Amino acid sequence: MNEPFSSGNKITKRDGVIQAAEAMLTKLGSDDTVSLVCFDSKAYEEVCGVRASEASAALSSIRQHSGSTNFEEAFSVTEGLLSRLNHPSQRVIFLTDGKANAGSIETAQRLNQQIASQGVTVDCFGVGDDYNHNLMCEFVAVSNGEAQKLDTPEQAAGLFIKAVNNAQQALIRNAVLRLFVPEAMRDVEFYQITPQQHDHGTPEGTINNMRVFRVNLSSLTQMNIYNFVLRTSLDTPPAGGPANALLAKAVLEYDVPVMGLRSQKSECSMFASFSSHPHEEEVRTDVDELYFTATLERLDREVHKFAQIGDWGRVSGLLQEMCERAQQIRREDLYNQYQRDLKTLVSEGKLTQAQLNMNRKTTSQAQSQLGIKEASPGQVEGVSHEW
Amino acid sequence: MSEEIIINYKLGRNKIQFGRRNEAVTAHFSIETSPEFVRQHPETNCGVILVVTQVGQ
Repeated sequence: MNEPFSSGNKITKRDGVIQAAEAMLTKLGSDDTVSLVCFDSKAYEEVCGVRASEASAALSSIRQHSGSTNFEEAFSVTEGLLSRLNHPSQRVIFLTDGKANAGSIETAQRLNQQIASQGVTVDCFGVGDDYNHNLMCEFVAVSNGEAQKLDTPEQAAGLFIKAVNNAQQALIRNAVLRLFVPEAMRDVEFYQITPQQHDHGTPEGTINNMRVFRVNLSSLTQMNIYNFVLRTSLDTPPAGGPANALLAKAVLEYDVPVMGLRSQKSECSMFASFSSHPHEEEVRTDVDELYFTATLERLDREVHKFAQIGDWGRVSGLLQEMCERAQQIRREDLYNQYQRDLKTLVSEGKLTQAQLNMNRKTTSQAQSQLGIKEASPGQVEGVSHEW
Repeated sequence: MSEEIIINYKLGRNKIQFGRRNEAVTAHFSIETSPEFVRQHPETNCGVILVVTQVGQ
């Protein structure tokens, strides 16, 4: 944490993080609290549930240690701390500049899931070039958090403040989405696309001839829209058969602590309709583009998997496929990123962790702009409907 | 039906011809809090937990 925050930046990572945290403290309300856990080979609870004014001095306890990086200890102490806090909304900001080299990642992931199951959202921020952004994406996927790469102290401050805003506007808690897809549907793929892209395509089981896909959304903020895409194949009925068929049913269960409500439910059934006349078919290419962009998430995860074992031939093939897909959806920004990596791979024979991180960040946030809510007068409240 | 949440959806294809096999269909759906709920409950108090590495690289 004593190295420059980024190349060309004089401020150290440690000081940049402290500056960002101080900026964040100014946005906390009078009833909000902050806690601080510092970790190296062990984790230390510095302050627990104090007001912003009391927390500022504690930031200096972010010391400069040498030693190992132990995510397991960090999540273990954090989970213990959370059990003593009782806010309607709680958010963890996990920050590292390196890879875990002590403790068990599997145990850290289990503890992270336990934290998520309590309705707490975990954001993971990486600073520098050495941390593993793919692992950060895996951590945040279980609680609907955000994985971010911190490039400058100013950007870090902005992201810390955004995390506080998200926490202050998270009035829906313990939100779990279940998507029920009839077994008659084939080749099912299911992705979340905002606030970040995640592949949720592995069903948790089957109930009443429906595959069930589960997403722990943890908390829903007032400012975000949570977008998903489902892709499936079906056989349409013979002429004279039913005029429509159920594609999927989304069921969201959640609590609203500010209203004292628990186990609320909101549902939406999605139907495909059929016609006798081919010219009547309605096509929306924008929906398919959302899907094709989301599939980059699956490919990018594969890139990381094969990069970790040094199979650069497979990485090259995947990057070529990602380039083609980015061209197909006319996403020049994504195409340029993947093409740059491909060229580096050809010339250098491998990609650095920093290049892999940049790629991962670009892909996971490829559709993030769709998740920001705009005022839309005329929306029907409390009703599920087709646009 | 709850009044806090809105779920919308749209399909990439609709009114698909009868008697077709293996037709790919994409559904896009979104979940958000309703404007009325946001108006009534703009914010809540919160706890933020900062978990920071202190290892030098």
